[in-house]
Amino acid sequence: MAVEASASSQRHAGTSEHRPRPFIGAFQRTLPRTWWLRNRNYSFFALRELTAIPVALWLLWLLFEIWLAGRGEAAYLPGNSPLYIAFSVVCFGAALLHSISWLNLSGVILRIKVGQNVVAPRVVTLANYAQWAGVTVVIAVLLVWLSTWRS
Amino acid sequence: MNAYVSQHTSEHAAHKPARMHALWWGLFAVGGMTAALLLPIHILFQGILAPLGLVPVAGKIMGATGLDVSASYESMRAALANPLVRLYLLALIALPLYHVAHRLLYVTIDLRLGIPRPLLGLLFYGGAVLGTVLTIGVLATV
Repeated sequence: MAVEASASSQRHAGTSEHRPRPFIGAFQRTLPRTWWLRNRNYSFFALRELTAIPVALWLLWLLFEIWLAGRGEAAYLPGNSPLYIAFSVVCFGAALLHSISWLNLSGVILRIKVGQNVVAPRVVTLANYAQWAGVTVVIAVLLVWLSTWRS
Repeated sequence: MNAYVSQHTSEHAAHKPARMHALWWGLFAVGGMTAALLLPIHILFQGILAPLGLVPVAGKIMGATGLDVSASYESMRAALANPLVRLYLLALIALPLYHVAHRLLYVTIDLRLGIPRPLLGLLFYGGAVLGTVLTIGVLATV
C-alpha cells in the first residue's frame, strides 16, 4: 500500500511520467466464431491453415507403410486402393495449395541481404520456385531409381 | 499486491525474449518449407501415379494383376537399408509435424472453441513431439 501511495502521489505531483493506466482484461474481443465465412479472403485463409490436416494424415500414412515394411513381406500392403488414391488426390491438392501460398509469401518474409541491398521479394520468391522445381525433379528421379533396387 | 506494482511487473515480463515462441515459430518455418518443397512430388508419385500403375516407385510397384508385393517389398527394404534414406524420411515426416501443429494451434484459437491456450499448445506441440518420437522409433527399428 505504501508503494501505491507514494507512486500515485508522485504521479499527481507530476514528477514521474504520465501514462494512462492500462485496463488489463477490460478489452473484450467480440469476433464471432463464423468470422471465416465473412469474406473470401478469410475463407481462403482458413482453408490454407486447414491444409495442414491432410498433409499430416498423408505423412502418418507414409510412416505406417514404412512400419509395415518392417513386419515382413506377408504383412506389407502399401496403399493402392481407389480409396487411397482418392485420399492422396485430396492431400495432393492441399499440399499444392500449401506450397504455392507458402512460396508466394516466402519472398516477403525472407529478407536476404547482399551487401547493403535487400534482395527484392519477387526475386526471392522466384528463386524458391526454382528450388521447388529442382528438388521435385531430383525426388522424382530418386523415387523411380530406388524402385529398381532389391534387397 | 496492487494494480500499480503488478502493472510494472507485467510490463517487465513482456520485455523478456519469448524463447519458446521463437523455437516453435522456427520449427514452423522449417517444417513449412520442408512440406512446401518436398511433399507434392511424394504425394503425386507415391500416392497417385504409382498406385495407378503409371510410375514405379520404391515400395510401390504395380504388376499386371495389381500390386507386385514381392518387388514392392524388396525395393522398400533396399531403400530403407540406406541410412541416408532413413535420415531423409525422418526430416520429411517429422519436420512438417511442427508446421501442422503451429497452424492447427492458431486456427483452433481463432475458431474460439473456449479451450484454454496452454492446453491447446500442449495438445498440438505435444502431438508433434510425440510424432517425432514415433517416427524415430519406426525408422530405428524397421
